[in-house]
Amino acid sequence: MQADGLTYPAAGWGTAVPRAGRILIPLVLVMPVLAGVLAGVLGALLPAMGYFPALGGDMLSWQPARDFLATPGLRRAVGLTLFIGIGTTLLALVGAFSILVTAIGTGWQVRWLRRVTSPMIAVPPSAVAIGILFLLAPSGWVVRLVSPWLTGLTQPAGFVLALDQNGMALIFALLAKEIPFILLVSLAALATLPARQIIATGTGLGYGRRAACLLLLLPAVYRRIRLPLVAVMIFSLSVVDMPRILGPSLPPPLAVLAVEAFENANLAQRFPAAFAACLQIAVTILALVIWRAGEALASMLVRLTRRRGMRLRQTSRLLTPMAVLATLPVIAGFAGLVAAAIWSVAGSWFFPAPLPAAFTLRFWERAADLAPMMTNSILIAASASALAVTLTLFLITHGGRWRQLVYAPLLVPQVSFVLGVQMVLTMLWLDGSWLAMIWIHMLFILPFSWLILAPAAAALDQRYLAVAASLGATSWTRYWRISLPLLAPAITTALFVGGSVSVALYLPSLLAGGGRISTITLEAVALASGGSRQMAGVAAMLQLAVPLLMYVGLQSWYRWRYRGFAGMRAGGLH
Amino acid sequence: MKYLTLTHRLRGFASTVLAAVALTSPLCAHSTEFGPDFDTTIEAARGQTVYFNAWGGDDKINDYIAWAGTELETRYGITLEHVKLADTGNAVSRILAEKAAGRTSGGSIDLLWVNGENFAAMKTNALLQDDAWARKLPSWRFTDAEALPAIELDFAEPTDGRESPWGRAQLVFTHDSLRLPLPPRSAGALAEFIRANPGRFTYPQPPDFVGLSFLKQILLETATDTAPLYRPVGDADFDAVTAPLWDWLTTATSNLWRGGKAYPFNYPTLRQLLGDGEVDIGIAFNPADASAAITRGELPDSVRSYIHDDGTLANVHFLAIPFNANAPEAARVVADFMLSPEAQLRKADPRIWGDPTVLAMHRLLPEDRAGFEALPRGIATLSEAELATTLAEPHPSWMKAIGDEWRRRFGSGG
Repeated sequence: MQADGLTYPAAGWGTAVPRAGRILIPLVLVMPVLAGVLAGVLGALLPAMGYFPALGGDMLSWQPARDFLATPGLRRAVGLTLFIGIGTTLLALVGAFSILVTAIGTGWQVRWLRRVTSPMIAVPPSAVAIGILFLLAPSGWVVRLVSPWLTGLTQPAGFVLALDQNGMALIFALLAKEIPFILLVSLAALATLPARQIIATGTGLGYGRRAACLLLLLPAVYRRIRLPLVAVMIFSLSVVDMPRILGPSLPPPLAVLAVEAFENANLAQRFPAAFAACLQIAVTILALVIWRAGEALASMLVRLTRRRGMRLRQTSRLLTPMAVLATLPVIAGFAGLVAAAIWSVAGSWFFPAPLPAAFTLRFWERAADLAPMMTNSILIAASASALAVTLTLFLITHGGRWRQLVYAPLLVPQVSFVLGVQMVLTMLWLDGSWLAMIWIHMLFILPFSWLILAPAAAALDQRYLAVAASLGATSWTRYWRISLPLLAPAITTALFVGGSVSVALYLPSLLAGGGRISTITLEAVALASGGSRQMAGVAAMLQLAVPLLMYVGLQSWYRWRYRGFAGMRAGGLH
Repeated sequence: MKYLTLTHRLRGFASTVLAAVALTSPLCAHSTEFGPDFDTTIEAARGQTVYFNAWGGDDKINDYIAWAGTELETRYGITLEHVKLADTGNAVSRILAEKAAGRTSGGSIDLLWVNGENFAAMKTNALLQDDAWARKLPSWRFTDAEALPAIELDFAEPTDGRESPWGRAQLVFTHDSLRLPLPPRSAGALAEFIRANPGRFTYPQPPDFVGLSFLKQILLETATDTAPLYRPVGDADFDAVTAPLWDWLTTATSNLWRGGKAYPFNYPTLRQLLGDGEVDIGIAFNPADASAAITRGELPDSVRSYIHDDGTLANVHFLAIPFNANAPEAARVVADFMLSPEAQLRKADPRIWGDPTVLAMHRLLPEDRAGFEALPRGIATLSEAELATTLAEPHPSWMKAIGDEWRRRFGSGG
């Protein structure tokens, strides 16, 4: 048993590789990841302890720690960070599970769910934040649609829907992205479980369908989606661009404090900034420990409920309203995107007009200038996710104890991690090279492709391989002709999610690109810094276009490739 | 502004003659007036690529830089690549990383749009070209550091010729004349406005540059003695000097937008709030900002600009070359071109960009001067005369000190 609770196939093409290869290959594969992680951690740790000769720091000292710990409001910032991280994860889990339970058993709903959720994953986080802010602000779309005829307002009232100081708006916006993500991975996990039998067993014992789901099915699903949940939590703990749009800002979450210190013109601030990055790692670990404790408590409750034979009729009734509530952020996310689309063609649009007073394509005409960045983004997203998937497939069969390493890029906050990596790239004269760009994108995609592919590989029916072996197929043939095609649905999903992650990467692209390679997101953030909602709308649409193109491409390929296989139709990205 | 209205007749005449010679045949003029130095530079620059790292948040500016790129290509065979930044600090970080990695040449940045704090930080940490290259540029002769000291004094920090002036900026306030016909024109009147109109004013949250500039503006207007602000903060009694600012803010904060419990992230966000009608007053660091935003449809055409009666902060922004630039020669040629009357005139045109020139009118050829005088002004842009009262930027060390103190007092939930 691995630490992540999955067993991996020992067979596959692995047996064809000679013994020496089994040691060498993992090393060769793992080295690029290891180098990145080490560089990243050292790049944060050493300056945090006062060592950074280029800025005259050549002795170890506690000064950076003292400086940063003196930041006003730090305790509240740390508290907020934990609240946002754990709150988002918990609500995303509860929301996704309520939707799942409400939908289970009605096949078309599940298929529909998958269709709706996949595109949301492709939406860049900053686009969601901009959309939701425009929707919910006192001068936002919701108020505009009912003003002045209902509210009597000709100028916005001062009530606060967004930019609140408790992180509620931020959590809401995060949920718009994370509920679909958890739903997607839950559906994937569900596909590996004999769901129908489990529910039938439950109803046979006198439980309602929903109670059977809650007590029997969901715990099994949960065990399979623990890693995606960790990914959600770490993302929520370290997200920077969304709080900069939606708040909280007084004080902001820890990750924003760290980035602000790194961006400070006063270069001496780099030392406390590095300490902030290390503190971020500590807070992440603390959040994981708290989550683990919550898990233990929840599993105790579930066991107790089962043993007592409670039927949970009331709880089951609560699920539908909860599912409806859970769709709210997702709907708001989509509405925000619609608003962004309208803004991209708006000439001017002042309060309280429900729609722009004038329309123009002026901003789209400029989009032609962005064509080279689109091409770059597509090339990087495609090659980095292909590489990450290949590497993941190798690691699944050959990774050994190195496997856990793929999570490191998730665990270490981007801001610290990436600066160390930048230093190493600069030393190797690799900054601004395609190699560096694709490599660093691959590092960030790797955890996601792992958490999609590993469970799928673990669920692979080994009997197919046994049959093939008995028919005389070599291990390579077995891998190529049986394992890989069976993994095709997971692989297409991993490529799509990887592409979406890649397109949204800002800081890593900025640092690895070295001003030589620009991506659509770099361009979008630079353009949006001028405050034009029209340009931001165009940029958001273009950012969205890259993963959607990948989605269409992968989907068409999958349909074409497996058109003759009845059993493969349910898979893919449907 | 002062240096525009001064008439140094004699000097003006001499430079007119020189400029006439210079402009009839640029290459030849360079060799006669500035020796063979700049010719060699131009020669070495041919075929080089300049990676120009500059904020990319305004499509007008981006278009202007693209135009300069085309001109530089045809005239000097230089390729200009605009690396669009969201934050200049990121570029400074990259230069720092290169220094830490021991890369003393072949750096990734050739030219950087910079001023104030970032310049001071780069100067202190030896991240700049180590000579007074800016003063040796042929176009330098069109400037007058006596009339506009800010071209050699970047936030009270001497430039030592290590950055070349590019444009001017001045803090201006904007208001919707339909909603607020008579805006408050001093720190005191603004305090009164905020008290009478709760929730209708705010400023970008420090450490945002414009947010801090607003705090400095209030401090300069309310301080009893402003002299200490032009020396390093360490030499002054910080608490005593800044006390009037904190008093002003303490009174105002609870009546700010969202009760001072949230602030816009930067000045473009504040501009959106003005456009959305959530606040009545906006702040910008470019006199032409409101006019440009009206053209883009971001502000209603009833928006106008104004400044405080005692004047507002004014500064100059610059082009700097990092110590390890890969194409230092071409970077100088680019900086020289950007400072030429032709490029400055185009930049000052509000239909192109609307960034005020750093050149001294009395040093220009009559036809160039006429070009500047004939420039249209945007609907919401003040005239040079209305902008004439300015306040000089305090020493950059005050920026961090004021920012830290602001965060201590107001930055944790107010």
